[in-house]
Amino acid sequence: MKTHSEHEHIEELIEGYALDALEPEERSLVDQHTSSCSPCRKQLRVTEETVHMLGFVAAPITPPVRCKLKVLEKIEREQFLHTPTRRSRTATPFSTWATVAALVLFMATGMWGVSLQRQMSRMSTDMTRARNEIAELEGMLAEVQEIRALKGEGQSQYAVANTFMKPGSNKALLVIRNLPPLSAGQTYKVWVAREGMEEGLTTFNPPPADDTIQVAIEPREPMDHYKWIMVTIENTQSADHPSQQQALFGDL
Amino acid sequence: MAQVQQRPEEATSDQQLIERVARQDRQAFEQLYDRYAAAVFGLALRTLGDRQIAEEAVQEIFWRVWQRAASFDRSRTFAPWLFGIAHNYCIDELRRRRARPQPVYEDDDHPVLSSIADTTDVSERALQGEQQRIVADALQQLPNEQRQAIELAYFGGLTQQEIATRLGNPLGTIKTRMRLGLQKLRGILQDQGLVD
Ligand SMILES: [Zn+2]
Repeated sequence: MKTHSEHEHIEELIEGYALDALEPEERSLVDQHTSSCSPCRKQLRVTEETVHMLGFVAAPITPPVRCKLKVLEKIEREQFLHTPTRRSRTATPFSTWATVAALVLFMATGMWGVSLQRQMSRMSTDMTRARNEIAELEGMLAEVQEIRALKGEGQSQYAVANTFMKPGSNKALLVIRNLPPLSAGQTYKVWVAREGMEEGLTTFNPPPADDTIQVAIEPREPMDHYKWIMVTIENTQSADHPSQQQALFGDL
Repeated sequence: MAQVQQRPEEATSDQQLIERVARQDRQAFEQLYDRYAAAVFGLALRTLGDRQIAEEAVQEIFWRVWQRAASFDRSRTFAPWLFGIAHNYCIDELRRRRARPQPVYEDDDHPVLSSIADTTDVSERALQGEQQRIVADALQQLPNEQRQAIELAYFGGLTQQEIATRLGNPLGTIKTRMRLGLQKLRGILQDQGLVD
């Protein structure tokens, strides 16, 4: 049972506590009292909420994009390290915000090498098993000169993708987000095409929702010899012609 | 009782987003980041007074949001929770760096920070503009001495004792100003529906 004067004494400290402006001894008095007194605890909560609203008083200022990229990279890395690996032979389900971040920076500024290499090297010290993949990606991405967007279709309408390519080269990278999972036995397949011909390339299995997947492709001819690029849903890996179920489609 | 204008219905609420973040949804996290990064950066810059340190603060604060999302109490609103995390971080950082020779306030009546307001991004301001206006107006309604005591504690990270020494007032006077000021502020924000 709390005495009346104890409540009163604590009540006098509540505002200072909420503003974190008390001396340590006063602070621990409030901690002790509120741990067993619900009216004072409630009053403290409302007072703290008032204090927290002061956060709105500072004029908002947009931070540089790198802040966001760094946080996302950290989250990505943490998720990667704490989820079981998912790897397939044909694709690179190693989704790294570092790579996407570098791509974004590349698109925004053309400043490619420095940030990519820095981020890549940091990633690779954390994840040695990804090092070779990264080195390969890095070499490929360093060549990128053109980016072509693909649009999601049908049940993949929320998917987004970009092809990173270099005219004259037959190596390109497809970076895809938000492809939905498939039924058992189905697979995604990448195609390039022009009038009268279609060429089937890599097949891959979708990563979990919200994840990014990078698919390296290497058609027979340079990328700019083709007119379209698409990703379809196939029932067999060896399909000769793209099925009617298009997941992504874009012009080259 | 004047209620704060809510976000348009079609927009996903902060509440829904933080619940998705608790389930490790990175897209929801990005949306929350986009909504609040400018407010958090503004707060960090005003408190810490240095762009680079404020940038680090934004990263660490949002990293904590990601890590603590699962412990978010659904019966509460998101913004005060976020600002609580942000403010705690900034004050800890400020106190840690206090030994260094960079003054937070050059003059107690004129926070360094008000000058930063010139660079405010107008589009970002629009997002939380309504709430910002209400809280800023509420603060303006306080007598100067009360507002000063609250600002020195909140943005300057000073204790009541330090404020008393700084201003040359008795400790009891500062305690009273802080108390009355915050009570009045709470009353105004409650009337506006911003606080329970
Ligand atoms: Zn009590």
